[in-house]
Amino acid sequence: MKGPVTVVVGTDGSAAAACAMRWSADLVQATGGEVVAVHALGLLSHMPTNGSPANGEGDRRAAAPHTAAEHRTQIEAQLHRWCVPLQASGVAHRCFVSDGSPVLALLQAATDAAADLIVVGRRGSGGFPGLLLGSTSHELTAHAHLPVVVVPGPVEPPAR
Amino acid sequence: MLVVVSAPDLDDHRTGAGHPEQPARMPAALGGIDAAGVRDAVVTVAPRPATEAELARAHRSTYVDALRSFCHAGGGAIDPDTVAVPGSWDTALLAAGAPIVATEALRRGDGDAAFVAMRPPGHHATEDQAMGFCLINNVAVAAASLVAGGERVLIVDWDVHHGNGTQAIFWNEPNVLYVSTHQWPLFPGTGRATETGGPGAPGTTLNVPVPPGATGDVLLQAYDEVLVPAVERFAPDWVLVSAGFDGHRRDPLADLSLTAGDFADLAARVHALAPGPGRTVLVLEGGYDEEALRLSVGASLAAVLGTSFRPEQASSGGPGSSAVTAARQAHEDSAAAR
Ligand SMILES: [Zn+2]
Repeated sequence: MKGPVTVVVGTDGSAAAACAMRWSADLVQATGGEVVAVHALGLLSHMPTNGSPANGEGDRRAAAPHTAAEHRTQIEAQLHRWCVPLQASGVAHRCFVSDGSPVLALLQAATDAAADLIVVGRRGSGGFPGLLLGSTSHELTAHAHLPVVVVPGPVEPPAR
Repeated sequence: MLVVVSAPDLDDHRTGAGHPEQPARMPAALGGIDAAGVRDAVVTVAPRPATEAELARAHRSTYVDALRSFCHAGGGAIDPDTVAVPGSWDTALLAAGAPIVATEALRRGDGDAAFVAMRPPGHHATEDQAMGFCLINNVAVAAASLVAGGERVLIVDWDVHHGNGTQAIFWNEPNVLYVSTHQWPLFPGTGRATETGGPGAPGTTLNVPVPPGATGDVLLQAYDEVLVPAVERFAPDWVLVSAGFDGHRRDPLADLSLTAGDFADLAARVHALAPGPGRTVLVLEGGYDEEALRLSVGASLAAVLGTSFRPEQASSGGPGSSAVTAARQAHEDSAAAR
């Protein structure tokens, strides 16, 4: 890729997202351009969960505030912490929250920013290989009209 | 008489402990019938699964195949909000077939209106994506069937969230008028007033985003200023309602200030837009506080039956009047530009 690039990267505060962000920052450091970091606010984002709703991510939401509006304010306030890898790299970047499913939010951000590629971290979440459903990266590759890069996250113990 | 389509005993869509969209919502919603004292006016009809051909009018076959395979392979998390289990497939097919059964019953003359209490909800599901607790877009499948039969369909979506899936499916369909009121900003991030339909169907999508705290009088203003004039121009044969009750003030997922009394007013107003008796179908979408759901469903059903059940007074005085005016202006600007 020649010349400055615009990279949209998904973030949710996870270690996998931080890896994707560092990869994006390295690329833009080499080419020039901008990194746009997006966090998707889902329907359940502000819900406290007892036990986990099948996806095992209840822990992230444990200390949730009461209303959707309060949650949005809180996430916006902490977004800069999630974007530390971008700040540390010194590349031009923006970070914002967007409503919707992660796939919808990333595709919309890519359209709005006229992005050259979308970068996401790989997580060992639900879904089955080979099916269109069940992971952000699978859904993105099925729907995106631009290149999608899936960055391996930190090394995890093998499943099962 | 009121046709009620439901099958809580066949509900195998298990979303897991802690998920707000759960089977207990169905008995809560159906409890509204007795709460409102309208049991004697109810005709209960069993749902049937939607057929492949019916699904194909609203969804891509590749998506339907992938969803079926996903469920049968054991299911799992589709996104952070949306889960499926093996039983989700049959339950979702019933939920998608139920609004069609309702229209068939009304066409036979079984009632003046119908209420469909099935899950999972549908209005976030697009032609090829599950999201926001939704797998198949139940209202869209029914509306598409009616359109295929040469009829014109009004879809009123009073769920607190924008029905991005329904909007997208009918973006270029001139025989469907989609009108949504919803909290803004909020999931799914679509539904700006400037989204008014595609080049094949300009002006047949109308969105009225309202701020957190908005009260019933604000939504009635939206109905008076946006919905009613549009419906008079459109002249629908059917009125389908994406009846979500998560705009209730106690709902845990959103921040509007509506009460059961407000839903009675909304239901009466929408039912009056039907071209005649037997052309209104309320289809349950969201609503995650069980008691609020029970009372709000009861108030709505009583209203369409022409009786009164108002366990909570209508709300007023919240923010949003200027947002309604701005939305109306945006619609007029886009109409003038055509
Ligand atoms: Zn909703």
